[in-house]
Amino acid sequence: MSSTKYTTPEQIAEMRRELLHEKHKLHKLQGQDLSWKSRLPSGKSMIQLSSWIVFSALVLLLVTSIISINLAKNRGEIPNIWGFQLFSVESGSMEPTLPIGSLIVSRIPKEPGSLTIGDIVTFRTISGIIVTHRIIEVIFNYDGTVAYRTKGDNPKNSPDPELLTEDRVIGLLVAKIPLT
Amino acid sequence: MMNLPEHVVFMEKVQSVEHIVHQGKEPQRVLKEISLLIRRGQVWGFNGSSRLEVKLLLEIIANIRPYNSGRCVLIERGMPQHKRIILNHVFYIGSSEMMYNNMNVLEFLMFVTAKSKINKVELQEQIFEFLIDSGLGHISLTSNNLLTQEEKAVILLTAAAYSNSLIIVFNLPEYEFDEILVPAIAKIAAWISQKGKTIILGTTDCLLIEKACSHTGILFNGKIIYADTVEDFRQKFDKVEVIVSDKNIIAMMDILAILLPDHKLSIKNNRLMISRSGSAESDPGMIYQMITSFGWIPERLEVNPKTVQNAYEELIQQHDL
Repeated sequence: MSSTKYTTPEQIAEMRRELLHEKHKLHKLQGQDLSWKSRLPSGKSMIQLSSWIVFSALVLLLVTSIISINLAKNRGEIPNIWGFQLFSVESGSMEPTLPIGSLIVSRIPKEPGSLTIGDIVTFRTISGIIVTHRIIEVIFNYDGTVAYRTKGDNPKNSPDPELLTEDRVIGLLVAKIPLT
Repeated sequence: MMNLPEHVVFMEKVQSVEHIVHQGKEPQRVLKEISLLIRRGQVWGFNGSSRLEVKLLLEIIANIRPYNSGRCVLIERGMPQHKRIILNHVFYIGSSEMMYNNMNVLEFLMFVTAKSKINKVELQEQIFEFLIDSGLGHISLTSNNLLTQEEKAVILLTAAAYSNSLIIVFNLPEYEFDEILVPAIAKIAAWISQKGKTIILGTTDCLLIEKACSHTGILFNGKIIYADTVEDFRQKFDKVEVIVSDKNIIAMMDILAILLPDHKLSIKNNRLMISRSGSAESDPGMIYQMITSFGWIPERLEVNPKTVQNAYEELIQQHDL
């Protein structure tokens, strides 16, 4: 900053020289840019392109999900998106692991006959009710088939009276979404 | 260029909230029935017998003062009577204390134009050269705290010129600009006008109006008594045709009073002013011939260039009577 009141012609000339020098540097840089950088999209346009792709993918996912859910409902099946299903917990049999009102994400197991103790499975009971309980015992039958003994995590619960056969397994717990 | 509205300020019978009290008289509104139309790209200079009136009018125009009644439209948008906010499209300069003192002039202008998309080196060069071109090179790198309030005001006007605001209100009628700053203001105002923006100056300096403005508005006793172009104002009200300078000016006036019965003669600053009376046009050549035919060559005789100052004095005199 100038210490005198008025800017002198020397200071003006010096400032002009400085600006000219900076401009030369700038033009040099711009020239270099043209060699390779300018061929690439700028950072801003890359961000815009990525945002557009992400947004389009999300919209596509939403639309396909809605269509597949409606189709499954019409066929009386449990709706799933790419093998993943969503259930809501309506009873306290799995408390405190799965509180009432929480959502669980299950996937259809590739081999329902090779589940292990501790897995939390969603299955259909003989009477047709959908239940999510934990496997506490794996029973190998003489004919080579497998059955599972299940039980809710709630300490008040006793093991389920009927054994679970692999054909009634709907899904294996992947994640829970505690909404309450 | 942006698609800017044509009518920038429209006022119809606007009355101020503020009153003025004269001893022994009823309080009167400071501004009464102000009607005005300011178009895009015009440079207006408002002058008047009272700085308060000028200041108040520009404050109402800038939407920072309420008005009592009438209609006021700014950039084709109605201004609420009682809600006072500085609008985005108005750059208001009501004081020169808005500048940061820890910077120099160029640094300050770079700071206020930081949002500009122009490359900073090029912008800095542009601003620096603009300052020099406007005759402000001598303060272009001066620390802000060393500037006078008038110099600061002109720098703020430069900042306004670089802003996106469509209207710039330069409301400093109490400031006195010198012979360096007046042409600088004129230059900046011309540039602002070129960009299609409107600038409204409040001033008591007739020379500033003459040099910088395309239009002028004159306030007298709270009313606008003239609002039109500066050129028209000069031609209409500065009736002095010829100015004569001589040692024997009084004797000459007596003789010329006989020779030019259709003219009005007066002495001002030891100079004889010969004015036309009424609206009749007069010929300076004919006046010169008449003087010389009498066998008398004055020391100096000049055709009056018609100034805003003379026109203003004449207009005020007419209304004062």
